[in-house]
Amino acid sequence: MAAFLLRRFFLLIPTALVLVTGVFFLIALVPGDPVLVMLGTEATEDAIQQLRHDLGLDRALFFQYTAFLSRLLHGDLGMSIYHRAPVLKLFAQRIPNTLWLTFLAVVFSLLGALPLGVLAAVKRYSIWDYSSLLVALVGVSVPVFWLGIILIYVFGLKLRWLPISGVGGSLLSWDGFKHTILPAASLGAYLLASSTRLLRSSMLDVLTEDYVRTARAKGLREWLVIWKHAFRNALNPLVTNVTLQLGVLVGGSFLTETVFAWPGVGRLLVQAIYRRDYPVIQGITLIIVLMVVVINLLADMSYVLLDPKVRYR
Amino acid sequence: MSRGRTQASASPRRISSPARDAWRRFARNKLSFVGGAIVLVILLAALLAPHIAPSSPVAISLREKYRRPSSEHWLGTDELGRDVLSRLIYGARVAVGVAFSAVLLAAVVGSIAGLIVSYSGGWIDEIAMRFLDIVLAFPAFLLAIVLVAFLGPNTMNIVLVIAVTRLPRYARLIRGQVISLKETVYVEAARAIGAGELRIALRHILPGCVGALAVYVSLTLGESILAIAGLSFLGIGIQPPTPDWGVMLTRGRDYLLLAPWVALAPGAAIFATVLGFNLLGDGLRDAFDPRGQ
Repeated sequence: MAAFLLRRFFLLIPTALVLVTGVFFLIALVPGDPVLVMLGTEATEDAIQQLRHDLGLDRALFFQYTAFLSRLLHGDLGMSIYHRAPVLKLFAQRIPNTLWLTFLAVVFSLLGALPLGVLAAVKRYSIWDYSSLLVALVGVSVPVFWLGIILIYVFGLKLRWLPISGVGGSLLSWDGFKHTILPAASLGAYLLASSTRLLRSSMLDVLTEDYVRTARAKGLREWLVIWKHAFRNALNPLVTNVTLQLGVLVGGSFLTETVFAWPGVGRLLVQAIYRRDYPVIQGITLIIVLMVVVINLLADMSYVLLDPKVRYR
Repeated sequence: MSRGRTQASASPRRISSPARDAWRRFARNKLSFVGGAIVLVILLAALLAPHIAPSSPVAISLREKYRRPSSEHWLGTDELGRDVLSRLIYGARVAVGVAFSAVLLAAVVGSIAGLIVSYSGGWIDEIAMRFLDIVLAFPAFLLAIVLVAFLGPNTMNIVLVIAVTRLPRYARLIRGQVISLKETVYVEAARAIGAGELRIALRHILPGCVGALAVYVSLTLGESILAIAGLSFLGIGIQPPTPDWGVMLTRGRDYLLLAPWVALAPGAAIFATVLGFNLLGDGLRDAFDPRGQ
């Protein structure tokens, strides 16, 4: 087990190296001179030379690369050309919004998936089972931005129940919560679908286990059997699913934040693309992928440490 | 029923074959047919667009803007008076064209890479697989956005970017298939009667991968259509005035209260198409992979 954890941990180093190298060479994909693309046609010769020097683009490629690495090792992710501020600072300002939105999306999806998945398995071929199938089908196929627009149209514009853009004051206030409901519901739809389907099938598996039959045989009430013996053991795959869908959540958050003008990291990245603010795109990409990789690693480690049934080589 | 069974045992044509079993498993799930029907409709719309669209997808008529759905314009008109249904039908061309090109590219290049890697084995295989693990850790949509941001948004680049983000998974799929197929009895038998490696690869191993590949193509087509529409929605995908579903949806969002049909119709088209490919993919999985599900 220790060997597995150690190997997984040391795999981080090549992963980070490939990531950093890939992100460094992104700038080479720009057709033409990236400095001209960033500054536009009206830039003065001085400004062009200055930015070229600031970005180190006037040096040989090898030195650009080593300078990039050493900057990263010192925790410097570069400077935004548009905001004239360090990328790390911009990121730090917006990451709480994105994490809060993602957290609520996960909570919403579980609030829906837990009862629906359990009911679908316990009352198989009932209306609950068919609605769980419908939720699973719709949730994985619906474009998250279209769902967001429908929610905006129905609950924001027609019924006027909920605000449709921005964060609205503090995240933890009632007003802040109201601003989060629609974006979190859109973002959570995919997770709701996959979790419902997964919980249903893992409940069906668990319900045929011997210990469930034993529990029934000793005369336990049915809801106790389902709650204490089946449900708790069917939960594990659900936790795995949330980390497995992390990539989908990240991609979905870019779209959701754009639809709802949510001032998070995704919006920062998308706007940086519009402004051709290449250092921001590179820096943000670096942090997001690193976060995803580390979370996956932590999740893998937690299975090994928490679940005695899981054994890795 | 019993008559059918006696016939089955009497006539050798009725004896089960892998293809017949696959079809039986596919047909067991009625939703597969729903998926197949949706995909067929979308394909027909894409193929026959000039013949079935009621009017031009790009003809502007400012006097007719924001018309509600009516018998004249079944899905109404947009901010430039263009017929939404016609744009939707032509949009099928764009969606299907871009997604098919991208998935085809990913499947062909990815399969060849997977085949080469699994045959070379040893350290090449080891390094290639570690590299794929690393690439697969990147969220696909993030990778697509960032690549387009630097390459610039045009249709060619979208195809390329979607293909690149799907390619590693095809390589891994084919590698896994080849490695397990190499151990099967029929490949061993072919080798025993002296068939060459190339012949075995082309005649025995490649056909064995077709099932898994079909499942994967169907599922990645749905995924790709979602990703392409997402890029267009962000304004870094297909560019206007091309009648692309994602582009239509973005524009329609700006006057949602005034003319909701302009944003809702293309979203419904994306949803239906993705649903179709997902249902078809699930059916194909039941058909070709009896262990799964």
